[in-house]
Amino acid sequence: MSAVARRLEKTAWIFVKSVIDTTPNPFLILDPKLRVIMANKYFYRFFRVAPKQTEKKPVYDLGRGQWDIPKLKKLLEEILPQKTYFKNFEVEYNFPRIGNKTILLNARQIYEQAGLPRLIFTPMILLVMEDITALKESQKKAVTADRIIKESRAALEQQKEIDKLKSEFVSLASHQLRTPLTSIKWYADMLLQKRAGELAPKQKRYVREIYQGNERMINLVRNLLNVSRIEAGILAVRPRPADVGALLKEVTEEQVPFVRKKKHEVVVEIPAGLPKISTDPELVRMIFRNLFGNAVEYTPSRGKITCTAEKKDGGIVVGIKDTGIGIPARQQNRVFQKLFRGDNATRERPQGTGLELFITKAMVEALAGKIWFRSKEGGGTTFWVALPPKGVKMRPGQKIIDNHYDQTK
Amino acid sequence: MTKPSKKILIAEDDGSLLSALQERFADEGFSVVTARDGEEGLIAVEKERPDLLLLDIRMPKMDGITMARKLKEAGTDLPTIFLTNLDDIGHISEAMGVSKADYLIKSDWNPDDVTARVKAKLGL
Repeated sequence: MSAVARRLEKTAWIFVKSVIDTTPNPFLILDPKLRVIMANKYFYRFFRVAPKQTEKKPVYDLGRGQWDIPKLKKLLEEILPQKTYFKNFEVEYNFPRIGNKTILLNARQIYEQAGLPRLIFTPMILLVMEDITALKESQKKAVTADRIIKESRAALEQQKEIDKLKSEFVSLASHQLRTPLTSIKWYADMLLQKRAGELAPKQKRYVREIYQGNERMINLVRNLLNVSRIEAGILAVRPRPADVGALLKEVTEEQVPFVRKKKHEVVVEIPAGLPKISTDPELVRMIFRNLFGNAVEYTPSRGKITCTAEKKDGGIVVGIKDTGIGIPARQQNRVFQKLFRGDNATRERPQGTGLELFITKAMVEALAGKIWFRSKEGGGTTFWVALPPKGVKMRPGQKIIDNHYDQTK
Repeated sequence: MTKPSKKILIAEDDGSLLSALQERFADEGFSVVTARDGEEGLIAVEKERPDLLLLDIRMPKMDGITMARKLKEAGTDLPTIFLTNLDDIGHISEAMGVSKADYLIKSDWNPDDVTARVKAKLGL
């Protein structure tokens, strides 16, 4: 061969080798006996092996024998004699040094170009590898994500169904419990109204006791149902712009008959220009009714109740202060517990249920607010409620039962 | 003393409460027709032509709301008061949507309060 020809050959070879080494897929060139003739640079880089461990070795002996798979063997051995090829053969393996990988194998005989000088004398197989580990991972994730979505949908449906059943149960319970209580209430009332004739004084007194005991029961059932709603998470919250100052005023005016009965002095200090806030006015009304009602009930006759409202941090803080019996210091940490009644409370108001403050606190929290108090036994109590300007989440569900203050006969 | 000679229909499935209401309204001078469920109620309205309906909501066979709705569809639009111990607001709104009706929770009121409401609704 002339010097020029030799130089051309060398240049051609360098070019080919550069292309081979730039190709970003690991590949092997195998002889008809499936021994490695050469591997490209990427192969060594990818599998972190050296030519010494690779060249001249049968492909099945490479590494820890990860390519020694009967099916793969069969496919490779068929390529030359049957002039065939294969593609997309998956091998998943925990390779030394590089860890768990999924490799896709494609193999075919290297074509001979007609017209080119015969550079090679034996047919060879090109075995190209593709690292599809990431692809496999994302496929697995997609399947998992799909499954999670389906499961979440099913769980949501189920939860809706459960909430519906809870709602129906609470409704039915309210109806079933209140029917016999209504019966007692009405007949006792009719006796007291002399609709069955005159009553002797003792009879009147006994019937009155029946009536009042029954009223306590009705009250308790109403509060238990409210508690059920709260605990079952089916309390409805519907935020909209509300004038908290006006709500406070309304509640104090509603209770004028009771205030008069106890001859209390009521002072309401609501400044002009209080901002409207986004909250649920029905729950706010209930909160104020409970706190103001407590102030009226637990303050002995001729007491004083002061209601205030002020702007604070964009929201509103309402204060309800009384000159009542107060809460004993040692019991103050239990005030918001279900069915808690202060030791001095049962005497002042025997028909209390101990549920109002639990319910009130739950409602305040549903409105993203805070409630706290300061009290001294025999020295009055002040409750504060802070409501934020917004951030109350809408919740479908059942409404809180209106607290209808009973008129003791 | 003028006695109101109006006729009211009371539909209530609980026997005890039905008796109490019946006696109270009779005492008050009303003519009273009773029904134990919505189906009986529809028949009674057709036959007796009452001036006002006092309906329980939860009743067997046909509930108070359905009964009121059917009457409205048939073109009968009577003053109605729903008496119930249900407090599910969904039901109540439904009840209110049917006819311009009043709605009272039974365990909150005494028979005298109910008669006062009925009288007010009849303009007596």
